[in-house]
Amino acid sequence: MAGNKIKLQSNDGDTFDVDVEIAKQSATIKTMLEDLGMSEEDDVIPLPNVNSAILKKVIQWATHHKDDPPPPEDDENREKNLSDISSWDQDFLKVDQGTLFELILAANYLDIKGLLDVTCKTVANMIKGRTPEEIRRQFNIKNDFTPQEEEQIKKENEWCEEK
Amino acid sequence: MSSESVGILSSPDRSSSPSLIDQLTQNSCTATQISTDYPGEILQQIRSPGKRQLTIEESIVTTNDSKRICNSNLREQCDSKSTAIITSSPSPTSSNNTDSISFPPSSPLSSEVINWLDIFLAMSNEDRTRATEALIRTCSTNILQLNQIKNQIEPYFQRDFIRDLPRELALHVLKYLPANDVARASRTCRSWYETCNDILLWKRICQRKMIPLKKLRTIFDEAIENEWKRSYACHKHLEYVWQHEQLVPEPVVLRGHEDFVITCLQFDGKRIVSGSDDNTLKIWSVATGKCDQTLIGHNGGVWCSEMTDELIVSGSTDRTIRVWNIGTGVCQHILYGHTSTVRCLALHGDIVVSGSRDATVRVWNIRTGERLHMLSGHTAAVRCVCYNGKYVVSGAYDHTIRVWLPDQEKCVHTLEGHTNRVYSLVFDGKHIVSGSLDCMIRVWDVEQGTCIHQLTGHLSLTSGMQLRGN
Repeated sequence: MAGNKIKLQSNDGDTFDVDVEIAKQSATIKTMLEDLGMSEEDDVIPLPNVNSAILKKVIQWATHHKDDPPPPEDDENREKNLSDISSWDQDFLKVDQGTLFELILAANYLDIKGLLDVTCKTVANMIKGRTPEEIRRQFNIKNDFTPQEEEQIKKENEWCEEK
Repeated sequence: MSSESVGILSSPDRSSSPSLIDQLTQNSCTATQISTDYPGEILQQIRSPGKRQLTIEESIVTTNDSKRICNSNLREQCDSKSTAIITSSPSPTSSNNTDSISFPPSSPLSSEVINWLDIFLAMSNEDRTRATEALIRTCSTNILQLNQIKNQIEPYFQRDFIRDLPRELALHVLKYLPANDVARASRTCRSWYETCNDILLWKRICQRKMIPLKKLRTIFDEAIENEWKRSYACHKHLEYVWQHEQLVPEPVVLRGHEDFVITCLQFDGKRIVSGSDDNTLKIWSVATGKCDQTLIGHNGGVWCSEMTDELIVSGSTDRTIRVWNIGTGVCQHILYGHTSTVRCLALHGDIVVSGSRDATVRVWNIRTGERLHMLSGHTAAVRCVCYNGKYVVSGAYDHTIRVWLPDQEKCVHTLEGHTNRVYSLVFDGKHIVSGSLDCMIRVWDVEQGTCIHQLTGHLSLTSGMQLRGN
């Protein structure tokens, strides 16, 4: 049934027509359609946790990734690779932190594993290799430790600086 | 432009205090839309669920870096400016966005600035856009001023992911980081510290590198509470010390059994128990390096020992086994029965199994001092013994290994294959590994009683072995 479309509605009222197969990359939407018996023709699927701008981005990502093979089961004990983000995804995620933040929440709510993984990896890459002060500058974080606490925590983590 | 998207940029402090723009538009109650020509859309902030809001105190606390405005400060700055500006507009509390908190205003704005802002307030959206564009263009010749504007705006585009995301998503991000980065990230601020110390996060880090949980005492016990993080730190430190050997401190020499052979050692992380041919055992403290107790009583050299938290069991050439209280040094039981040197012991719960030069294996209860069983069958000195609660496994100078069910005093297997004395055994419940004077190591299946492997390679007596994994 190629070409079947579904209507997705953001929490601020915008509706988007999307191919069912693209929309089903969201396990949440897939469940709504398959298990909850929502009809594909007429109904609008409301997404109360996603606004229009973010939904637009999500649909853009899902459209580009529509032919991706299903992501493999997470092997918890395998070393995770941070450098395998495709260049398309890297460009797609060249957004401000606020947008990236909302994308993580949306990917989580819509249960789109590929998008969730790549957005979280992107944030991880912003942390990796940085000193605590650099991390604070990166995310605009206030250092709320007392000097004594800071000293103690530094000692607690001294071992990781041994080369 | 359609009115569907509410494109107001609210403060990064996601307890949803309004931005400066918000406050200024209080008069007009309609939603404003800011032009989205800006690369990267300006979006309505959705509050992330389940995170605690900043308390009033926290949002008042001043930042360390006076030049950098932090998330928690913006609210103070916004509100203080707005109270100076808004004269006739409804009070902030009428908006469904604000909490009613009053802040002392920072240095008051001049009347010119106030007028200027009033005019801005009165403009239409389109005019405002053009006005800000013109303002920025004007400032562009002054790089310092431009920088200032950039620094003012920048925080609004930053998010504290680890603090603001629901915990499982913050951990999903941290999962991708190697241990060093997690450790460094924990030094950022309190909320990051708490999340970065998640026990499962560190458990996974350890499991990826096959680092087991360290149960014995470690040098990081005081510093690190998280037991998996502690295990990782120990492992890393150990690797470092091995690679930079000059940093290993001078070994402490414990003197005591002068001129006599030390025949056996036990170690529980804080105490060392040494047995000697001088008929005594000594208990040493690892922390002080001093001998805390000397156990006197045997009438012959001590050749084997075992320890628990409270007791030490020792076997001697005087043919007895003694059970001592570690704390007091008092001998609680003397176990008589063997007719020659007690050469090896195996402890399991309250049961100790002894092997002797008299070729027998005996089973005793160390709490009651009762003699429980005698296992006869070997035809030469029993040199090594193991017990896991079910099977007793003994190796002897008669070249064989015997597997016993002690309660039935029955020998269920006699494992033949070695061509010389058996000197050492390890047993994990399923497999027996034996080392012998014949230079071979054999692996046996305890249930079948068959030899599954033979390992050659050593050129002489194999006398000490340990099992790790498989």
